[in-house]
Formats: sequence, C-alpha cells, structure tokens
Amino acid sequence: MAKPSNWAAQAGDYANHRYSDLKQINASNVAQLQVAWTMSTGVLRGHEGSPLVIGDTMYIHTPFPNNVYAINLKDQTYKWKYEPKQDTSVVPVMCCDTVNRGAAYGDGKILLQQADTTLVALDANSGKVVWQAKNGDPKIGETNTNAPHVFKDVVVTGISGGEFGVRGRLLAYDLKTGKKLWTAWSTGPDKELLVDPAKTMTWTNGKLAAIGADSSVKTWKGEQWKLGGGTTWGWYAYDPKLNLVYYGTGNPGTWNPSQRPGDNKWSMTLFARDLNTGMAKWAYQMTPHDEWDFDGVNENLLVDLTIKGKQVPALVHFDRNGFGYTLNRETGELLVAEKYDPKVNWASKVDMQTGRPIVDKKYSPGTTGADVNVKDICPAALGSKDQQPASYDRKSGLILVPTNHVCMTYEPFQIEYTAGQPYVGATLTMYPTPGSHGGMGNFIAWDAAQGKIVWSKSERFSVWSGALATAGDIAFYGTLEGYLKAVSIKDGKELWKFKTPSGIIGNVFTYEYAGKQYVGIYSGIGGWAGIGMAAGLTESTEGLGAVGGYKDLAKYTTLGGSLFIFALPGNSATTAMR
Amino acid sequence: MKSGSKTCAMKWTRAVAIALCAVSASANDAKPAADNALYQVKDGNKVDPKTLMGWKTWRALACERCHGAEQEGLVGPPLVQSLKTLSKEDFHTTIMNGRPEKGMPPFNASPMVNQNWEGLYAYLKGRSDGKIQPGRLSAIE
Repeated sequence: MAKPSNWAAQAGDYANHRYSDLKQINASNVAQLQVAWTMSTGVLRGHEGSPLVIGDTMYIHTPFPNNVYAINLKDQTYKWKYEPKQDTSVVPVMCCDTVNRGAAYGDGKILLQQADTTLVALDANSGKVVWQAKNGDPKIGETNTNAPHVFKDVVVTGISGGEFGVRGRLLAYDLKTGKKLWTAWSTGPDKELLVDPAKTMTWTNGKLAAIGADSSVKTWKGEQWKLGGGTTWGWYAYDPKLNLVYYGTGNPGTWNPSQRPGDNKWSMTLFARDLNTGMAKWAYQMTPHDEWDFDGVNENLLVDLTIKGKQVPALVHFDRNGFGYTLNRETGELLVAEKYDPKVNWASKVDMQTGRPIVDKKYSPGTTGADVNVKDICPAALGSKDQQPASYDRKSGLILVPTNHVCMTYEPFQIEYTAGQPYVGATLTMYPTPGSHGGMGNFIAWDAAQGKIVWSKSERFSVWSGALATAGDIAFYGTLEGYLKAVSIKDGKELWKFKTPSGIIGNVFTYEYAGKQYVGIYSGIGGWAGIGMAAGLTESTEGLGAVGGYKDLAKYTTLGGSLFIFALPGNSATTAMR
Repeated sequence: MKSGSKTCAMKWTRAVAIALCAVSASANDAKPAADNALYQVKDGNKVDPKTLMGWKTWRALACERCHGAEQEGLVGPPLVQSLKTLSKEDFHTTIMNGRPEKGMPPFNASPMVNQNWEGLYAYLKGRSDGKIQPGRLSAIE
C-alpha cells in the first residue's frame, strides 16, 4: 500500500484519501489520455468500487454473483477466476440493485464480502479459498454490498439491510485465520454496543461527555431497537497511530418516523472504535430521529487540518443530510458543520453547542405525521452525497466531492414488520433541485477547515462515482451518462473526457506498471442512482410535470459491465512523459 | 393519462373490459357497482375499500422499488403491461412464490399480502386499464 505504483486498497490507503502521488498523467498532458485496454466483467448490473492492483496483477470484482478475476497486467490474461455459487434468493432482498463495492488485500489474501453475507479470503496467487466466515442471514433481509477493509492484521466488515429491519453491526475477523474477533452492534444494550458508559464520549452541550448507561435502548420505544437499522455498508477508515477504526451507521428501522419516537441511537452515527477490541472511544449522532433516510454511512477522510490556528487530527465526513462535518478524530469534538450544498433546507444549521440539527418543521415528515405528503425537502433521501467517496488532494488540501443535487417529496405511512420483507413505510419522489441549474449533481471542491465550497461544477445527473485526486494536479470522476472526466483541482475546469459504454458509478483508481501510469474505471450503471432514484422522476400526480430525468438518462446510457484502462500515448514511460 | 373512453374503446371486444368500463361509469355516477366488479373508481383516485387495501399493500411491500412508482417498470417488469395478459391465477402464484431467479421475492410470508392479494390484483388491473391514476388513493366517500 505504501508503493504509489499499487492500488492495494479501495481508497488507496487507510485514511480514505483516494489520492495518488503518481504524476506522469498531469494537468498539462491529460488531454491526450486514451484507452490502453478494456475488459468485460460479464455482468450487467451496477459496478461500484474499483479493482485492486498489487505488483503485476489486477484483481477485478463484479456485482452479484460477485466473481473475482486476477489479471496478469503484462498481457491481460486471466491468472485465476473465483466464481462463487450463491443462492439467488439473496437477490430479491438486495432490491433493487446487486452492487458490490470491491475487494480488499492483505497478508497475501484477497478478501471478498459476498452478497449472501459470506466473507471469503482467497489466496492472491491461486484464487483458492483460505477461509470463510458468515456475517448474517439473508432470510431476514441481511445482505452485504460493502467492501471488506483490511487494517493491519484485522478484516473489518459490516451488514446491509436497512430497509428490511436489520439490526446493524460492525464485525472484525482475524486476517490469518478468519476467527471472529468482535461484533459491535449499532443499537441495543451497552454490552452489545461495545461501549463503556463512563468512557465512551459524545459531543453534548459544547463539550465532550460520557454517553452514560443504556444510551441506545432508552432512545427507542420498547424493543424497537431490535429492528433498529444502523447498518454499516459504507467505507471505513483507520488511524494506525490512534488504533481507531472510523465508520458511520445507517438509517433507523422503518422510514415512518412517527412509528419510532426517540433519538433512535446509535443510528445515523459516526463511531471511533479500537481496532483490537471494538470498544467505542467516541460516537456522534448526526441526524437524531431520522425523518428523511439520511444514512450516516458515508466515508470519513482522515486529514490533519489547521483550524482557528490550531493543528487538529481531523476527520471529514460529508453526510447524506447535506452537512459537511469536521471533527477531532482523536476526541470526537465537533469542529465544523456546514452545508456543502447551499440548497439544503431540512435544517437551517447544526447547533454547535448541542451538535444537533435545527430542523425546519415545514420539511419534517415526523411533525406532519403519517399519510401527509411533505414536499420539496432538500436533499432527497439519497442525500447531498451517497456512498460515492470523495478524494483528498494532499497538495492543495482541498477535498473533491462528488455530490447529488436532488430534492424529494416524502409521505410516511404505518407499516408492520415481517421478517425478510421490506420495512420501509414511506413513499418518495425525487427530482432535480428546484430553482437551481436544473441538473441533479455537482462536483465540488471543499475547504474542510472553513466548511466552505471553493468551486462547484454542475452536472446533468448525480455524480455517483468516487473521485481520485493525483499529484498531477488533476481530479477524475465519472458521470451517470458514462463520461470519465478529468478536471483541474485548482478551479474545476474540465480538461478531458471520454464516453464509456454505460453510466459510471464506480470509483476512479490509478497505478503504475512497467514505468507507465494508468487510470481506470468500471463502466456499468445501476445502484440507487441508476435505478431507484429514477423511479420518481416521471411522477405526474404531484404537478411537477415531466421533469424527464429518467427518460433523459435512458437517452444516454443502458446497462453495462466493463473495465476501462487509460494511459498516455506511446509504448514507454519516456515517450509518455515527452 | 389516457382518457377513459379511449381505453374502453380499445378493449371493447373483451368481455372483461366491457365489465370494467361499465363499472367505471357507474362509479363516476357514485352508484353502487355490480357485485362481480373487480374494482370501483371515481375521479381516477378514489376507489372501493378492497382496492384501496390493495394499493396500501403495494405501498407497504415497497413494490415500486422494482416495478416503478407508476408500475412503469424498473428492474422488475412494467406491471401496467404485464397485467394486460397475466391471469388472476398466475398473478397469485407469482406474488406468493415469487420468481427468485429473476429477483422477485415470494410474499407468502406476508400477512398483508395474504389478506389483500385480490385487492392488489384489482388495483394493478385498474392501473393497467388506465382507470386508476398513479400515486395516492383514497376511499370513495
């Protein structure tokens, strides 16, 4: 991972920077970038995540059925293929897309988190199964879409199923043996949360205070925490110096807020946990008593910032709720919380004393109650940003953020729980932010110390692709129409673009092989942006007219499944650098 | 939206469709419908109690996640089309047993589906016939 020639982790590093020191491809020559080679993944569903590159081998993964291919970079031949047999009954409970956010690497093993909740360790040389473990039960709606993460000698993984009344948890396994080390639940009794009521801290009344006893169960009605959600399907980070793992939890069970009074802790929460024990050092709930499906799972970027003249080991998080948060990652102190899309309206601001959002009652489905349709809430349920990860440019200190620019109507309704059936309880429609540029996305540069947008580049559709910043002063991202784009980090100016066959929801990665830098991306639309989000865009009953988003997207792209690798012209590094 | 009369005309040769059109007309006049009517609808968005429960079942089971908010089809097939040919028996088999290989889950474990599947069939038929509008429904007063 230390070698910039490799791309040995989904984020390139532990800190979620998605940054590369490679600069053969840079602002002055990126306009010449061209296709070096391509490969079909053989699967036509949403392609999230990215391949890994270790030495002379690339490891490609696919959406369900979660195949993994090891490819020899010398001649692009297959070294091995792993094609798991998974029960197809897992597909319906992943409704509506069967994405997988990629593999992890460590100790000569490739780690794959299959949809059916099987975590498998493959020998990186042979593709043979070294060990496997089971995280959950698809029969009650538990599945996996997340990438497993290798931090030192520990594999960390999570669970999906927030729309099926699944109780979220983070799980850790021994990388060598596959033995389970700990399970940290998002909701429930203290023991199962892995918290110390006297030592686990949270931001309250302008200071850090211990969370106290029964911090989760007392914020739920009865035993609702058992269906509490708080799933953990995002990107995790790790600070080796503090030995802390960082991640966020998802929405609380049922999208009908009236049905689950209370703060619903610890859904919608950032956690810092000890890698070896799972014990929580601190927790911070961004959206208490969620009324909008603003999952808190988005990635945390670990960066060191100067805030008000002081050096801070910080964590930066762009929440679905539209606020960009900066916290002290060592202590959990809240430092900055500002809107990273000016059109966010469900809350006027975050009260820096309490750490709680000041909710606008007009946009609060929990206030208006069940069977009332609340209109023009911004952002929509898929958030000002969803899982598509941001990138930290270590040179300029800017964070490049792929965002959504979408609003919604939200009508909650009463729902009963049945194991293995959707437990949603709200009808939503989504559409481009009214009174704006008409597009559904922006690619922005963010100053995390100030909490300010430095520049913003509008996009026709949500930018559902993970960004990459490089030492060549350029950032890359993909669009739902299928373009891979390179922009100047300085001002967001578009320097190059290439149209791939299908929409892009994967993450851009880069590596060096035989002295030459390559940039790659999966092309294959799907995920919530490609399918679920489009559902509301032809809504005619609410007087929104034909906003045409869905039809528009269909004009540009259709399903696909391929990998594109780009490089500068010429056969060697010398010609490429000319 | 298609006009009601146009939809009727298109299907005039089919016995079922004739019955539906008749039902629709009587509902518009707020008169009680024939006993064998599949559904009653008024103003496009007010329906009989059974059909209303069918729509509520559609909503509760989050069918729109695959079939689209207006049954226009997404990952799952467009039910506005499917219901033109799918028999009530085949509908029942499909919703209870699912089509797991295609991603359709079985709903036989759902009490709401067991109680209301006929209402759901009626609702989807009404959508397919162009008689019931997409979106929220309420009861005929």
